[in-house]
Amino acid sequence: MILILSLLLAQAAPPRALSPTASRIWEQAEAREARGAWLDAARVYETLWRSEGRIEAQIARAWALHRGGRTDEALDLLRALDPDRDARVERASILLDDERWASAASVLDALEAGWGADPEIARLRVRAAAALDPEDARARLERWLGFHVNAPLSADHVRTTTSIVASSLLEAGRPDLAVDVIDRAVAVVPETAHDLHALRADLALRATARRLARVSPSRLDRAQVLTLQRARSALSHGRVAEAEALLQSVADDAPYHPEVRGLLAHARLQGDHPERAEVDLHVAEALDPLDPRWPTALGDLLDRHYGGRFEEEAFAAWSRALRLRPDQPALRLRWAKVGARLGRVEQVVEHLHPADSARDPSGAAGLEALRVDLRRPRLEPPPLPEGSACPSTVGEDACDAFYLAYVAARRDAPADPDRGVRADLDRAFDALQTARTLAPDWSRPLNLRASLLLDRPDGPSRADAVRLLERSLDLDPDQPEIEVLLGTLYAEQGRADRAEAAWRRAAATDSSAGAPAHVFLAERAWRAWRPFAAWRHLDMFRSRALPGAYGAAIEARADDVRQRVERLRDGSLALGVAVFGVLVLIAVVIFLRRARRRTVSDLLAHDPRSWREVARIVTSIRHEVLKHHLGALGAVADALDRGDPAPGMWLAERLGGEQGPIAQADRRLAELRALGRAQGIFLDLQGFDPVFSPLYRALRELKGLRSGLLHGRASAEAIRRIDDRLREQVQSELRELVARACALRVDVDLLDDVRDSVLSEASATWRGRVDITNDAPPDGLVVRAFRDDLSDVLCNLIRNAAAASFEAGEREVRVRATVEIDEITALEQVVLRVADRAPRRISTAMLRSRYIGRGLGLTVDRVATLGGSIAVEDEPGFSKAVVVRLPRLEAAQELA
Amino acid sequence: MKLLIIEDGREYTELVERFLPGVSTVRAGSGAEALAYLRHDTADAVFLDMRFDRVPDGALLGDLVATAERLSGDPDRARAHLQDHQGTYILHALREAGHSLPVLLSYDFSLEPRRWTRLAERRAPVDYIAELDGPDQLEGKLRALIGSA
Repeated sequence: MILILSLLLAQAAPPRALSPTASRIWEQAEAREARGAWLDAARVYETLWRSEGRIEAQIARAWALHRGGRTDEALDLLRALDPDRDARVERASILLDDERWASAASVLDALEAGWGADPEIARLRVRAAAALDPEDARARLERWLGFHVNAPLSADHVRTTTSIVASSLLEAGRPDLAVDVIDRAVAVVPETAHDLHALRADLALRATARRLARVSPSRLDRAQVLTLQRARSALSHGRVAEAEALLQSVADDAPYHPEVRGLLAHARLQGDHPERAEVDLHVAEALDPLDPRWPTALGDLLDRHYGGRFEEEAFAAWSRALRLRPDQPALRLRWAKVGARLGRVEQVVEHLHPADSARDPSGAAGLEALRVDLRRPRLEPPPLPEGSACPSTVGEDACDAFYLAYVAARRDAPADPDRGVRADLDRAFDALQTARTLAPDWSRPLNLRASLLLDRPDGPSRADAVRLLERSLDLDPDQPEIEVLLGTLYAEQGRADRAEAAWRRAAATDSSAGAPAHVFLAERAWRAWRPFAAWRHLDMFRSRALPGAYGAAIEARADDVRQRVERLRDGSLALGVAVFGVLVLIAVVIFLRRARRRTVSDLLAHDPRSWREVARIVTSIRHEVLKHHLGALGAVADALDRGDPAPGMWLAERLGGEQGPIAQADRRLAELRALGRAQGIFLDLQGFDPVFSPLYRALRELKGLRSGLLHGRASAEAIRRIDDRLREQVQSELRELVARACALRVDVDLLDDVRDSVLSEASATWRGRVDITNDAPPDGLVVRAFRDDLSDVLCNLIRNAAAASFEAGEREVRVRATVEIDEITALEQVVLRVADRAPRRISTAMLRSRYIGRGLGLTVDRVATLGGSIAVEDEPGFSKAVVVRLPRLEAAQELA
Repeated sequence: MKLLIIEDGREYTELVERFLPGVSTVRAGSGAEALAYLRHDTADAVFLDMRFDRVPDGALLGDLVATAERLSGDPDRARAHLQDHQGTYILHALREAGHSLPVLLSYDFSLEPRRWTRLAERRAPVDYIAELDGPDQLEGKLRALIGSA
């Protein structure tokens, strides 16, 4: 009760509108409070009080002094602030916290007289009354609840204050009135129903316990308090026996004081007397049912000192403690873990989440820890076989010894009242030894001994248990529940194959006792990525029902596996869909790439002007790759046939390196691809182009053979095959790839078309006054040019010549196509001469300067892009001729 | 057989030395080197590369300025022209210098029959081999050339 009052009343006034400096000082004080340095905190608050003069600081200082043991000083501080209302309320609160009920009541009465009806003052007054006069407290509580009509009261305050009053009424022997006040509070503030109804049930239970115990709480005199302090000191220094003796002396005089009994329980636990400690804690809880410390300690004791066999009782004790004080995340986590083991997973998760995630960040971690813990494989020993079915082959003495052991191992069995409340395992083991001696072929004593051994956490005991269970199954193979347990133990030892075999034997019995084996097998199948096998086992398990807490735990485990298998199935499905999608995407990309792929011939058709770059690259490949390096392939193959590896090694040396044919070809092919990309064309030289794909494959094969060549192991046949491919599929195709591109026949027809075009121009004012004559060989001459380009060039030259002739009064312009042959190179050039008789106002030098006019700049550029040249030369019979020379094509002559 | 190989690299020299052991080789890296060699020495035949793009401009036979003049005054085009057709310039220089020894050109004239006919008429005895012709074809054509000379 003191603790609750402290928690609820000791709320220091929060700082309001403090300066930044004062806020920092306040935070420092709170930090000191948080680590229990109360007097330090008080000094900091004093600084704040002196610098800021804030009453909040003085109130906080008073609380710090009170908690630091200097209550009178604290009260003096607050009294000095009279008649400040807040200071007086806090003084009353401190008095209540110090259990000076009458003084508190006096201060609060004065406040009520001065300030009139005030719910806060009334609430504190109810608490004072609860200690002084429970029935007066009941009346005051009724009046205080009346405030709720106009100013809603805090549900927490209602819950706590009602609990205190109800408790005081119970202690005053009026459980009926205690129940009345609870019902009244619930009627006024329905939100409190859940907690207060639970409290009512607890109070009823404790009232009954108290009646049975015929006890009433007692108060300690000063000497007893001093003895209590000495006992605490002795305990803190490890002098357990001394502490126990001191506490026992106090308990002899005040047997029903909860603090004394609780401390005594603590000492007895340290002195390794858990059963007596348990009794003390039961008594302490009965004496003070609102203090959560007692059920907490009782749950701890039951959980830790009986090998987990009294988890139900521990869970119940902790449940009571958490109802009284919910904000204990650590305790809630332990409670949750035990609850999960008992199969109350839903209840646990439901209570964990709102409590811990909302109140304390560590609660979320606790919840996660619990979830992880729930998934961890856990040994789940089945309950002992029930019933009294002693087989007829077992003698009566052996049967009696077994049951003596059975009841000795269970505290709640009506075994031997003289042995107290704790299980007597020594006696159980003795009795089991007798049973085994009298009936060596009976399996049940072996099973029970194994079960008791499994309560011990040490490894050797578990190994012994395994041997006992194996012996038991030798004696009686028809024990599916033992097979299940044995399989679990094998799994725990890492003997997976044996575990699976044991579970399979249990599952094959088709009995309820063997049903858990299906869950374990499903779990194992899931881990091995065999979801269908896991499903099969889960289905077989679903068809059977298991009773009790163990059955619930196995059900929970099966649900867990089922969820995991479903997740695996869903994940696999999603993965399958994703993989299918990716495959479809890849197929679409491949299809689109194949649909988009083009050859170099396509590039030339799409953009004939790229022939010059294509020709340059092709010439380089012919020269740098084929001519320089690959002409000797046949000779290398012949040498290999003769057993001479040296030429092969020589070839291999030449194939490698940056200047080798493979690297050179890669660079040239990359240039070609870039050329295609610049035109928006995807050139598939590697797998589609009829000229370059054989070259590519041949070079890759050569690269693959290189290592063999270097070590004299290459196949002559392979070399010869590559040589043939290069000769048959690459050499001639490369040669002809650009030979026929852009071939244009220059003949009289073309020249006439150009002339007609010029004559049709509006600017041709000389039309009919200047004659344009054309002359060309009958078969024409083939050049590599584009018709529009060449037409533009000739049109411009003719237009200028005609205009100049017209201005000069001349009437003839002659266009003539002839051939020139270079003496040294024997190369042929097509010469196009545009001659006139106008005065010579242009020269070759002018054509090559930057300042040429009459559109000749464009003409000069066009000629250059066609690989030709332009000049102004003398012409017999004329004043001059503008001469364009273009390379003549031979092979394409007949095609153009 | 003594073969004068005129090339800007060493590819043909290595090829002949490795695969034609009966042929002794002398390498000249340019037309000028070849002419200098032939002033004091002789060979049974000449193997002549066509493209010389790995020698300095000064080592190229042919008038760079006059060539540029013919090609719209563009020296880059002129240099490329001399490099690409250097074999014919060297052949011309050999004949002008009075060397009538057989010449095997490394250039595929199959798509330029008129040009080849003119060269063969003016520069005889001369023949050519294509890119992938190996040592056997090379030796066969050389022996045919020497036999006809």
